[in-house]
Amino acid sequence: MKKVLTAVMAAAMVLSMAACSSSPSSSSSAPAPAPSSTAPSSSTAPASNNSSTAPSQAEASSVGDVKAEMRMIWWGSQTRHDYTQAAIKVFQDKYPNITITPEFLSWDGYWERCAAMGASKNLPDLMQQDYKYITAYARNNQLIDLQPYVDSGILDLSDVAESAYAPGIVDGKLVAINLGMNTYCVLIDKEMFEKAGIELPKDTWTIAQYEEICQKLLDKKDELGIKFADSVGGFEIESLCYAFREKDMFFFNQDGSESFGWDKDTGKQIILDHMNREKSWQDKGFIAPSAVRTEQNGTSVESNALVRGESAMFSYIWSNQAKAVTTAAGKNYYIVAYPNLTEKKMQYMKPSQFLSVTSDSKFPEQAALFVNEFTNNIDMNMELKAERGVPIAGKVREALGATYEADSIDKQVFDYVGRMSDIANNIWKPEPTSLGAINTLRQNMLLNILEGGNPDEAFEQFYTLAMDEFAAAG
Amino acid sequence: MSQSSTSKKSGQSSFSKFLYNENTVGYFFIGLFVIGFLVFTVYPLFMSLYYSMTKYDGLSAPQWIGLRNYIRMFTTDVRYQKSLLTTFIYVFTSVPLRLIFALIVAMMFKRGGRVVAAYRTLFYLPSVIGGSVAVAVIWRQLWGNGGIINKAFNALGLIEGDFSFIATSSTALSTVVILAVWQFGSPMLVFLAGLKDIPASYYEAAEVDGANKWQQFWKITLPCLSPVIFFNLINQMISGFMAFTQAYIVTRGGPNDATNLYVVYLFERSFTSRQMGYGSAMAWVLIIIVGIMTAILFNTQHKWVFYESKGGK
Amino acid sequence: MAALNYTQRKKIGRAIFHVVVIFLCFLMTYPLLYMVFSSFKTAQDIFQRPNSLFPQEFTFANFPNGWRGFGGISFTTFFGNSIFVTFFAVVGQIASSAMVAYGFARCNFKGRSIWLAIMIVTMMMPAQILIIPQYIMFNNFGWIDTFLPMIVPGYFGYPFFIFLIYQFMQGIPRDLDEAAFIDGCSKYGIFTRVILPLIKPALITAMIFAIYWKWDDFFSPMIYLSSVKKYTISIALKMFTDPSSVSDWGAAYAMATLSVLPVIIIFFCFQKYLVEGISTTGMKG
Repeated sequence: MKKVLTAVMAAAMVLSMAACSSSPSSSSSAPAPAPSSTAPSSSTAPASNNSSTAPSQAEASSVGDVKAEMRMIWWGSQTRHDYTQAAIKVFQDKYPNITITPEFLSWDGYWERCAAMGASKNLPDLMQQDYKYITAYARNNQLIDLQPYVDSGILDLSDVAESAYAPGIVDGKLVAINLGMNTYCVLIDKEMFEKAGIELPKDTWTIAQYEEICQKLLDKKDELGIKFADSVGGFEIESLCYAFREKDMFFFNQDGSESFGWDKDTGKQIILDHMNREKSWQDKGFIAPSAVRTEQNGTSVESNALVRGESAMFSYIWSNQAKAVTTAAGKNYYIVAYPNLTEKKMQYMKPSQFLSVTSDSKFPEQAALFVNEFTNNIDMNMELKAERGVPIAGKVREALGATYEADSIDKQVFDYVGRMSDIANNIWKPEPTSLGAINTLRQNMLLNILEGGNPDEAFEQFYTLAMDEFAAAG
Repeated sequence: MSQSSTSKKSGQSSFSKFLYNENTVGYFFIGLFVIGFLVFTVYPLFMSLYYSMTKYDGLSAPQWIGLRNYIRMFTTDVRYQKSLLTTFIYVFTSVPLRLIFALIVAMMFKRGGRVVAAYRTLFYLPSVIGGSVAVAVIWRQLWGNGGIINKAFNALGLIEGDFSFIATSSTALSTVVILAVWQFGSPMLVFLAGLKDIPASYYEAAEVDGANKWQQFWKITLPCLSPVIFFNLINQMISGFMAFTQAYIVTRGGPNDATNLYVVYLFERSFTSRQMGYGSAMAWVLIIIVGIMTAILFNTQHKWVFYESKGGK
Repeated sequence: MAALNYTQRKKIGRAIFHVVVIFLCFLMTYPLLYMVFSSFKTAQDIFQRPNSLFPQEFTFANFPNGWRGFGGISFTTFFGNSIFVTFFAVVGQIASSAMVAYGFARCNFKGRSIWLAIMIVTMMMPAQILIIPQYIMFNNFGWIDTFLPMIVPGYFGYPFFIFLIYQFMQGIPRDLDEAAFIDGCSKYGIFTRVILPLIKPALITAMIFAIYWKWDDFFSPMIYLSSVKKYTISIALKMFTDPSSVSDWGAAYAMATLSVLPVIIIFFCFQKYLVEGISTTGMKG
């Protein structure tokens, strides 16, 4: 045995030596790099939607007659899994020759899975997309341009506002269709506000008013049985982006390059002002401490302090999640916009998610047909129940809206999204490919500051690492 | 023995000579391993060495960038360096604690009747369920804000107000370490087997000489067990460096990278940020680190591992 | 104290031992008990009284609710998949490892010590670092979204089990081989007729470990399986938790409880072999 152990040790050493010594030799036998750098051809004209041709029923049905087996992947909760499968069934009943195999999982692991499938050119035909990843997938030529199908009438966008499908255009190609509109909001426990004698805020409220309300709530803390005024959602990047918009700037460079939209000194000021304010809110007890927020983030909405009656507000939550919170709490909340420095709204309408047809699909026409039905088919959307956000097609919205009771949370969300689409800011361009990495760095910086770290050092580290990420991605 | 085998079969046909040749027999039996090793280990290993010197997103063709990934790791990527440090802290705390705990439990329950066997089973139970998602859910509940451990610490006055062990940077890693120690079962089994193999006559002789239990432990148990401890130490050290599932499902590496263990970060780089070239380079550095650590342990073993001269054979 | 004689002192000592150990047992198993009892709690109970171990009232509704699964695919499918993968992978791992171990333990072929060293180094090598090239390779084989990446590699020997069985074989006296050899048994025959029956404890130990590891495996199914109907339990459980919505925690606990049941049963059935199958004699030089 001793002999074996010695041999093992020797082998381990050899192994580590090999790792060091073989680098020069293999570098000489390196293959020629970069065969096809993906030059984004912006030859395709942006979807002008002048092709509002009523889709010839004959054409659509002939596309639907082809025998096709497709796969569709999405992330979400069990509710979404159930709704989507029901909707797929409606589609399959209408087009019996097409079968769609669903693949679904929760957000955790979705992108890792898709990256792995993409690496092997094995992406499902239909893929639910997120704003964070759409650029990367589009630039890797993994998504097909849907414009030709719009032109041929398979995909009908005549009932959809340009602002609703424009976010799916990357480098001049329509690579994804918006599945529902979404925007940030604040949920308020009406009873608590009443009890504390605070007037419900309007959409135009400002940060100063927000702080005032927080203070009032805290003054009546024991009476209301709350721990903090606002439970706050995650540590998402959006509120920081609003802070840049307040100064007429963008967090990321809008030319699509891997860089920030600000120079270091100006940016530092804005970022640190923003994060220090959040820190001061935490210190004053306005908002939940970072540990509580981290935990709320990691579990489901029931663990939110608002649902547990430990706070009176839940700011910074996506409008399509409002229903889940209401369901979990078993009570109705008041929905209002996210506060900004002035009355002008900095928040924007974000597509909750997109549906894309991948270039690995063998049946792009049928996939486009499915996207069309997903967007315009009222029966399918009755099954989907606007769980992905407010539908983008006008007729669908009307039909669905008519089914809601006047006071229901669904109705409130529909109204809120309708209200906000008039005053909301424009969404930025799809983000750089290094967004994911930068976002992690930004979140680490924020957590560092909230836990009492030195803000200057936190920023310096963030900036250095971000530059490194940009360099690696570029 | 091999001599007798050749002489006995010498009169037979060349085919059966070949069939019964020690080399044929040997490679017949280990052949599967050889093939598997070449296909599932060697080939991927060299592919990953190649990828480690490329910029590769898993989609477009890899671009050769030489040693840039390795340089970046040790110069600009502070998160990598922090992750490396975190992993070392994790390994140097969880492995000794796990081994000590496993040894104590093995000593406590090494022999005895049915009751002791039942205790042993209960202590082993947490290891059975391994890295199940169920564990992550429970762990978050127990160590979270409002969890029972929080309540206990609050009652003792050690913490106050809203505190969460898993969601605070300074304490998150300890919950992952405790999770690892909680699942100490497999080294315990090996210790039990080792204790069983120590001849009872040693203890009898020691008892005659008037040695108490404590002395017996230091003079007999530990030295006799040292090869087993060594084996466990190597194995646990390696799996410590590889720890992934627990940290990934309980804390996802956070908060603020506090539990960003090496493989968790490797996974994030490779699949979330899709820097598979960088991930491959990280994998190679890890192999080297583990190789060096193993070599160090092997080199120090003569100082504390006692091999019996009579041998087991 | 002085009044106590030796037996009395011993009795008291033992009583203290048992009290302490039972308390420790409770601490050790508390998380598991928590999981089991939570699976009988109502949703409200789980949230309103998160720290109480026992349910306010026992409900069995979580089990049928959880078993229903997701979008028409029930846990019957997930359990079936896990059983299928575990069974075929374990059979392959154990059979091939026993063969390879025999080759190392009993054959004096050229290059034996080198291959033995390689095997041990492989045992020490982390599987996860090979995940990227392996993924690409399995994809070229067309194995993505099949059970093959989880099953086939096991048929080429699993180093940890090879080592375990090898160690155990070292403890079997060679006289037995020699006797069989003189009776005209070939090396192949010795393996099937002499060695295999004798290494049963080692095979069972390896089998138990193999079953745990396969059953609990989270990493490979997560990467290789994409359609829900092929999910194994370990990843199916993950689908219960989604941060952006209401999760049915009761159902999640219920299914988690059921998911650990098979391994616990196997453990109870075979635990007496567990220690027997590990031989440490070979480690002693």
